[in-house]
Amino acid sequence: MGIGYIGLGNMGAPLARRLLAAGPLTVYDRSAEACAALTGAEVAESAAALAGACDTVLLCLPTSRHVEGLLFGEDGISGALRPGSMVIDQTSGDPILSRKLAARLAEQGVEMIDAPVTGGPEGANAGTIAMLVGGTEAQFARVAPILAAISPNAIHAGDFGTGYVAKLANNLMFSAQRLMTFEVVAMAAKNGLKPEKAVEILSRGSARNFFLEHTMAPRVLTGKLDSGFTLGLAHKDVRLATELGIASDVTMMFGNLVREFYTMCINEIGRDAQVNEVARIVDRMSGTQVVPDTGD
Amino acid sequence: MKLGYIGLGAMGGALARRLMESGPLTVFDLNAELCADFAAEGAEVAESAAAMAVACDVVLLCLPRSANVRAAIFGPDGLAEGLTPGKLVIDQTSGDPSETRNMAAELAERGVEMLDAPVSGGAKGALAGTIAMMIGGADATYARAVPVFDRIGPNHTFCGPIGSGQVLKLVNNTISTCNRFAMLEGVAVGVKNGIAMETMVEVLNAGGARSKSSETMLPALARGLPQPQFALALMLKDLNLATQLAMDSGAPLHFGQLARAMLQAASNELGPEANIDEISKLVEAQAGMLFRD
Repeated sequence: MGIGYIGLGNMGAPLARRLLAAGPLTVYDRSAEACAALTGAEVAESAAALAGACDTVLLCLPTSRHVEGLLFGEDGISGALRPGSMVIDQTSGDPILSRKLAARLAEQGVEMIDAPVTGGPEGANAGTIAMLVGGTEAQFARVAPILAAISPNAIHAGDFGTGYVAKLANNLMFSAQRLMTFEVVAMAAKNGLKPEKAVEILSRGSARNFFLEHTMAPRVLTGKLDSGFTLGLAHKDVRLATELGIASDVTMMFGNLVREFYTMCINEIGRDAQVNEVARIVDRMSGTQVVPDTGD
Repeated sequence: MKLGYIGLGAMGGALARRLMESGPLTVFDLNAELCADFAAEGAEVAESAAAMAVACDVVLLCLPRSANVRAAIFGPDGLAEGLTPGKLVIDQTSGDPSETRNMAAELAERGVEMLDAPVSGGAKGALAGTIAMMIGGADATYARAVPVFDRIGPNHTFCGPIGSGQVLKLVNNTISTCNRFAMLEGVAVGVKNGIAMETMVEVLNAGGARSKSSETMLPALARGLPQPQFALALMLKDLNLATQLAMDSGAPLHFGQLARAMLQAASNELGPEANIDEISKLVEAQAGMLFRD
């Protein structure tokens, strides 16, 4: 029995490619083009056919609703999964909905763990991506050799669902860092500090963060706002994170401010806009020009 | 047209008493003591919600949450067991609009009509007949229910399809909670700068900052008078519904979200039984001052 991968999008494709480099892999995506792009993989005729042929099925879909549809919707694969098989969900998912999905699979003897990733397509390609794994010790031990083919950075977060929780916590904090960075650099620029100098100094000091180093300096300050990540996707993760906080009686004072700012941006420039386009909105609201005029 | 009222708490009780001034009323509450009080005042007490539905043409409800309304209608001995086609359910709960739309659709399958008609203005306003009622439902159903609303007071406004009254009530409570926090934190700045509470009562109510909060909560704070009873937990419920509604409709609620977070913190710190005015104690602690001269 083999390993299968369903969902060959922005994130799923490079993850599947890593697995393929280590051994045989069956893949499926609704887009035939995405399947064909994974040279060397066996392409299943349908998701259910893949589920019937594999005892380990990895998923990477846009949302947990898509996972729900794939498992239990019309033509859902749950009927094709055999008892004892394992579903590894790499979606940036909703812990509350996913727990229900895992419970339904458990009724038919199918195991499920969550293993969302953080590090982007570049990290996946480089084999350095972090995987945040939620499941029992035994489940983690069972999937460790498979995940090792993707990257050595598989972290056991805790029980089922905690991988998603960790991912949401990470993405909320990262999305907040983006807004805080834009605002702080605008403030510095408005008061005589050049944006490049502000970013250089902040990157050396206690305010140093991933966004400053990997996005602000190389991309935003050079006007390259296209990172392949849309405003709509950023908002989705922030919304899930804040809803999780609200459902567990946490104030989410800052997280909600972050979300409402992204909501406002979506209403202004659309959910398909690149997330770093927010820098231009902050520039407009602040009367600054941190994003250089690239003439386009 | 025989009327029944379910839910005789602070708000429902006042609305029911107002209705009793102009005619007979059948009442029901899970709390037998409240029913006994109303029996002593001349109301007929139904044995159950189901029995009330058999006996009445129009049944009004005012309960803490939409989940309670669902239980009262569709639970064991619920209204649905006695409702027949042509009868009318009027929900005065500050409820969840989407859940109300679901219940209205389920009632419509049985030929029963439904309106949502939440209120704003407190128990005092209900008894005085000045309370504002915001109504959602079919035009024709509203037209049919106008004589019932008139018996409570003249301030009823038709807002749109079912759920619209509750949408507006959530919007209202979001704005009023923002007003409350904005008033408290602004007055704290005044106090810390040596301005007398009574001076602020006078000036703020004469100026552009005037709101229900500055007109009622502020003088009560300044003079150490009792505040109207309204459970903080219920206001938090409304802000949770309102912020969820805003998220679902893609509209930012920058200020409403902050107010929700402050209420959530207050609820965690003061406990589930706290009254809404106790947020002033938290603001005092947060601002390092006291709301008195």
